[in-house]
Amino acid sequence: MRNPTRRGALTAFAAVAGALAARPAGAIGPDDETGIALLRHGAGATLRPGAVEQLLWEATKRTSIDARERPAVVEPESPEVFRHPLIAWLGEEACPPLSDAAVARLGRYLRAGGCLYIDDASPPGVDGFDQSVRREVERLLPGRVLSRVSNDHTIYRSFFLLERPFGRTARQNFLEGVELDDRTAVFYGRNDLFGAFGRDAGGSWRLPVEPGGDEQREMAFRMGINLLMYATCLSYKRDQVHVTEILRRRKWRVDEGGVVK
Amino acid sequence: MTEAAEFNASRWVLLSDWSAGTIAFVAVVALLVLGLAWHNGRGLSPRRRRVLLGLRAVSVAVLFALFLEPGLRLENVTRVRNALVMLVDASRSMALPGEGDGTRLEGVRRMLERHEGTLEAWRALHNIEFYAVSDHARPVGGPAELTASGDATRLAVALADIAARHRPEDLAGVVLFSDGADNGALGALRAGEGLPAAAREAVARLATPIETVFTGPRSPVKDVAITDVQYDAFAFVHNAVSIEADVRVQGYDEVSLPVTLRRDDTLLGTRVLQVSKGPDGTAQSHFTFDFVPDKTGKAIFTLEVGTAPGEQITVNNRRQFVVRIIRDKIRVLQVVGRPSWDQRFLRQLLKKNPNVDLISFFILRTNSNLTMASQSELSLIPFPTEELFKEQLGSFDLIVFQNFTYRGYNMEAYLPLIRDFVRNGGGFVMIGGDLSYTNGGYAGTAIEEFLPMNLRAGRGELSTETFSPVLTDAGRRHPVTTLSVVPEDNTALWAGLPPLNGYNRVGALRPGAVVLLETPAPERAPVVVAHEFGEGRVLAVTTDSAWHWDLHAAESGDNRHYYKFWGNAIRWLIKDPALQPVRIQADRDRYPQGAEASLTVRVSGRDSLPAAGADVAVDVERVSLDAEGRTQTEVVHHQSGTTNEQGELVLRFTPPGDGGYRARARALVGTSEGTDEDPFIVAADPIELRETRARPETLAALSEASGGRARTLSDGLDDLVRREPQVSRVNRRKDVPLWSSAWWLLLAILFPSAEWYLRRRWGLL
Repeated sequence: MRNPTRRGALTAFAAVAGALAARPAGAIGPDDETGIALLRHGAGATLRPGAVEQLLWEATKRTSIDARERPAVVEPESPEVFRHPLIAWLGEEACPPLSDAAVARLGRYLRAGGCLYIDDASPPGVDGFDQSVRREVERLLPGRVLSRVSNDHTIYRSFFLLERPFGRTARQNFLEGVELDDRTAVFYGRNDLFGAFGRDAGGSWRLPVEPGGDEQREMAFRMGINLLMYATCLSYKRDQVHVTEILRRRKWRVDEGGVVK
Repeated sequence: MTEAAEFNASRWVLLSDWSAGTIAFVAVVALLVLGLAWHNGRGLSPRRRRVLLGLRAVSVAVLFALFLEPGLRLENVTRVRNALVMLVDASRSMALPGEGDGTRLEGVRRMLERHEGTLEAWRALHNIEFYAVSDHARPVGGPAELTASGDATRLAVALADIAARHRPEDLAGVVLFSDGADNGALGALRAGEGLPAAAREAVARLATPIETVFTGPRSPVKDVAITDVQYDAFAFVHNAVSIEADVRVQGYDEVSLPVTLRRDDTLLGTRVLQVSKGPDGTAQSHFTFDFVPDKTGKAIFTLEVGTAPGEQITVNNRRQFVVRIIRDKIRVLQVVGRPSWDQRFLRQLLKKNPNVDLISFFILRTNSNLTMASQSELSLIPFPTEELFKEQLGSFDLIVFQNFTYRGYNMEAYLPLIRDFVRNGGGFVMIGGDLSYTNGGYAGTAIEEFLPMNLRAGRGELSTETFSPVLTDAGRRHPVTTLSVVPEDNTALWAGLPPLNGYNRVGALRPGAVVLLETPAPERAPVVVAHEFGEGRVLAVTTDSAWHWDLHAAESGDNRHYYKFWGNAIRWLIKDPALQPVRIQADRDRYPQGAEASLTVRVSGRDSLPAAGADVAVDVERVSLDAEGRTQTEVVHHQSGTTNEQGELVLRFTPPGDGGYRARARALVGTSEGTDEDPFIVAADPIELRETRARPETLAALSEASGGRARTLSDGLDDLVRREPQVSRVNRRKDVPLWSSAWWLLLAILFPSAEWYLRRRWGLL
């Protein structure tokens, strides 16, 4: 692990200060704040402790999203998955197959509007989790396969402008995903995105970010925030590019001289 | 009976029965005889030669005539009178001033009266048939039955009608009395041009000379006329509409007049007509009116040009027409204070709806956020408040404030504009959250004025309880909360939806606010409230967790109720006509004069099913504009009735005259009265009165093409060329042979004898 830099220390201080500061609720009810649920399958729910909390804290600090402070953890067979529009499945080694009930539940969840982010945290050369992911995605969405997500996808400009996916590692410079109803229902990244976020009790980063160090960690946070923005806003940014043009194209007014504007 | 009285026809005939070959042979022999006579006389003096040849020729001719046996055939025959067709233009333009005193039609009548004796004499040979010409030729008993009431002049069609009715051999002649103001195939004809194809074909089929008689003023009538209005019967609300008009001025060298367009009594635009006379003594002007309809429904539009000094025809200075304003897409502005799951699912719903044109604006970052990035690393754009809430506000049908506060964006000045937008007919939804209602700082603002509840001053209060909303009595019947038309099912469906998490506490409801969903007793706080403000409608949703009705409900495999709820809400907010419990519709937008109008009233109950046995009252108003452009109405018809099993009541009535009308229906639906109205026009703009100029060149072209003569009223009819009737039967016949006369015998002896004598005397024998 690298020594904390000055910027990292400041960020850590801000994180602690932020955690201590009282803040208004972003949504009214307890289930309604924007957040990320971790899927309890394999090592997923415990693999990157503190990572989701740190990402949501950063999102709340940097954006208008008022995120839930703690991640929820959901069982894949549980109807609770429907309370969490964004679920992350983390892993670094091969997983047992999802039960049939879990496959049915998660498949329905994805088709109904849910979003699943799969984060491969395994080191380069280890593909056990990757094989599990591909197997389960085919079971969840029969007939659909993971395909490369274009680098002009909205997830790369939903808040920060990014050119490629970032994470704790730089194993793959693209995301894969599955499209459903003009949205990407499943994202699959292999750069250990959530590994870049966790802190230990002393406020230091749990894991080093390689090869780019703090700069890469910052980009990973931006990637995480963009993921959260995409999950809540979908294609909003893609459409927004055209908003002004759409508005001005509307011929709905006539000026004093009788000219349509 | 004398022979002259016995026979009424005679003709020359050949009584011999020689074949044509024999006759030809004898003729050749006769010529040879003459040729030989000429040859034999070559030694004679020219005088003697001519004399002898002349005597030989006469002799040969007499003998040839005797050979042919000429005779006179006397016959007693019966003839059938043929038709003398008198086509009289009976269109409205014939009621316009003609030459001298009276109308154009009166001029024709006077001429026919003057020639009554002539016509009477012709009746011995011809059946004189009168036809009134308008869009077709219709038989009439005589000039007395003619009225200038036709709504069109189609001369070519009328001629084709006559050609279909009579064979050319049955016609004595065709006489056409008209002002030439054709508005059919011949309408575009200019002096010196050939006939258009349709007219050419009609003339060819008639194969009879057409005698035309022009009636009309020699100098142009002083008239300003709207000759054409181009508009679409349908237009889209909030989309610019163009209406174009052509105005023709004749009889004026210089005039300046206003041209106005009104929707009902709302002035949409004014133009100025400036005249400079054209080469044919008329001036054409073209006008374009652009406007943007701000509400749906049918409306009567009135285009009017002012009356010029001394103008002789003013009825064509106004045109009325009906345009149906419909909605192409529902233009929704969704403004969101912060990304959330509630916003995410509503946006997805709106994006999926093909009838919605969605503009979203989400606040992704506030001034209190630290992005830790430069502006160039962000994909953010400034919040275009002025563009959205001032410049383009009127282009939307519905505004959604979803957990959005106006504070921090210098929007205070725009809030009254949003209030006016709603007051003037816009829809508005406020959805709850920590930035909504009192928490959004709306207490005391223009927004609070149209919300269905008072907002608590100071800090807002949020309830974080989880609750299942309860359908109120009003909610069971209201279109917004109708998930099923069966009331019991509807209640059960609402009870089966996933519970919600928290809501905004608000103040007392305003009068007229209708709570549709509320929290359970004892608190019974409003969750969904409907409200009307001015012409607009408002829906207040105090929770930000309705998204559970989508994703969460999908857990059981059914999230359609979320879509149904918001679909209902949007249709109610924009006043979708299909949700109206009472609807009235005339079977046409425009009726000709004297036509019967059929009005259908449909009444549906709160369950949207046809309401049988509903009492309906219908008033029909005549709508007109006074000199100041204000609407004047007069009830011209009232009728009541009861709907049938299909929830329909059909009424019929005949409007009393030209103009705009509005049928209003009222019916009691449950405990409240529903109303609707439908406007229509009665022949307010006949094509006849657009082109009032008399056009003799049209008649001249018809006459010329058919071999007839173009005449005027003063030319009279005495020299009218007519065909004799044809013989239909020979009753008796007598042949009188002429060759058996002694005179022929004498001639046959005399001329050869004379030749013989001269030849002997001149020493040729």
